[in-house]
Amino acid sequence: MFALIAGGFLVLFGALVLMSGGEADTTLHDDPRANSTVGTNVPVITDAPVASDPVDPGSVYDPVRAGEETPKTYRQLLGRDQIAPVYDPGFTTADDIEWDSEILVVGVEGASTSKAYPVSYLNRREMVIDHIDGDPILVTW
Amino acid sequence: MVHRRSTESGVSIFGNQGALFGNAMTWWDHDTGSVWSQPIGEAILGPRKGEKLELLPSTLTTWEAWTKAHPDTLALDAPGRRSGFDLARMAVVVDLGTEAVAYSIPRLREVGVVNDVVAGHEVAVVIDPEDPNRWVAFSRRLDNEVVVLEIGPDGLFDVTTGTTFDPFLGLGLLGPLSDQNLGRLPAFTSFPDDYVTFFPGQRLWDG
Repeated sequence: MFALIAGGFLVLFGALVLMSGGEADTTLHDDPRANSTVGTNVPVITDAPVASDPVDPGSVYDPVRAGEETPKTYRQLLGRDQIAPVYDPGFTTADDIEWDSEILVVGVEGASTSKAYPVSYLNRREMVIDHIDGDPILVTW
Repeated sequence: MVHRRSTESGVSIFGNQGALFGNAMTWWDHDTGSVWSQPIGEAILGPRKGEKLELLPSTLTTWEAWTKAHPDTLALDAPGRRSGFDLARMAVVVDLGTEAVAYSIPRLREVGVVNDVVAGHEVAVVIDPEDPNRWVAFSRRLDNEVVVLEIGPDGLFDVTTGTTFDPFLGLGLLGPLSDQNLGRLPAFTSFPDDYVTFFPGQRLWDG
C-alpha cells in the first residue's frame, strides 16, 4: 500500500518537474515542496528545490529493530531523528546574516554557488539535507 | 563532512539514526532504512549495506575568512554563535577512499604547505599565508605536470616552474602553468583523537 502511494507520488513529482522545467533529479522521493525556512525574517534564497520530507521514521524499515546483527561498536542511544535534521534549509546573503566574523563555518563550493553553515548550529542539528547548484548534498557535523 | 546524496541508486534523503558506530554518528536513508556510518560514508546495516556516498571537498574556517574568498556566498539562515571548537586543536583529514591522512593544523600553520601522496595521488595541504584560518587540500596533478608547492614571498608557488597560485582558490596567477588551476580534494576537519578512532591504523601527520 505504501509503495503504491509512493509510486503515485513519484509520477506526480515527475509531472511537476516537467511542468516547471526544474531539476531533473532521479529522486527516489524528494519532496518538491517549495522554499521554506529555518526561521527567518530576511529574504530566503534557494538554488534548487529544497529537500524536505514527510516520511515518518517509524514507517521505514529499521535493521536494528528487525534484528539484524549489529557490529560490535554499534550503540543505539536515541531514536531516529530525535536530533532533528534540517530537511528544509533556507539561505540568505552574507549581507543579511548577522554572524560574528570569528565564528566557524563549514564552507562548500558548487560550480557557481558557495554556501556556509555555522558550526554552532550544525553541532546542534548535526545534519542538513541540501543541494548546491542542483547537486544533492548532505552536510553533517 | 559533505557527501553527495546521489549514488547509482538515485538521490536519497538521510535522517539521524540516533546511534553511534565506532563512536561516530550514523544516518538512516528514507528509502530503505539502511544505516550509514558518517566517517566512512558507507551503509553498514540494511539492504544498501556496502554502498558508499562520495565525500565532497569542503572547508572549515571563520565566517570572515570564508566571505573574503566568497563574498557572494549564501548563508544558512540560522543562528551562528561561537561554538567552542578551535581550529588550533584540530586536524585536516584528506580522505581519498583507500587511504585517509590527518594533518595537524598547528603544525600546518608552522610549515605553510605539506606535499604528500595519499592513496597514490599527489596532494598538497595548504594554509593560506594571508589567513591562518583558511586551509585547503589540493591535487598537485595538473594537465601534464605534477607540481611541488611551497610558500614564498609571493605566496603559493610551484618550485619547478615558479608558477604562482591563489593559496585558497587554487587559481593559476603568474608563470608557465598559470592557465591551469589546482583542484580541491575531499577533506574535512576532525579532532586527532576522533580521527584515530574513526580511521584506525591510518596515518597522522604532525610534521
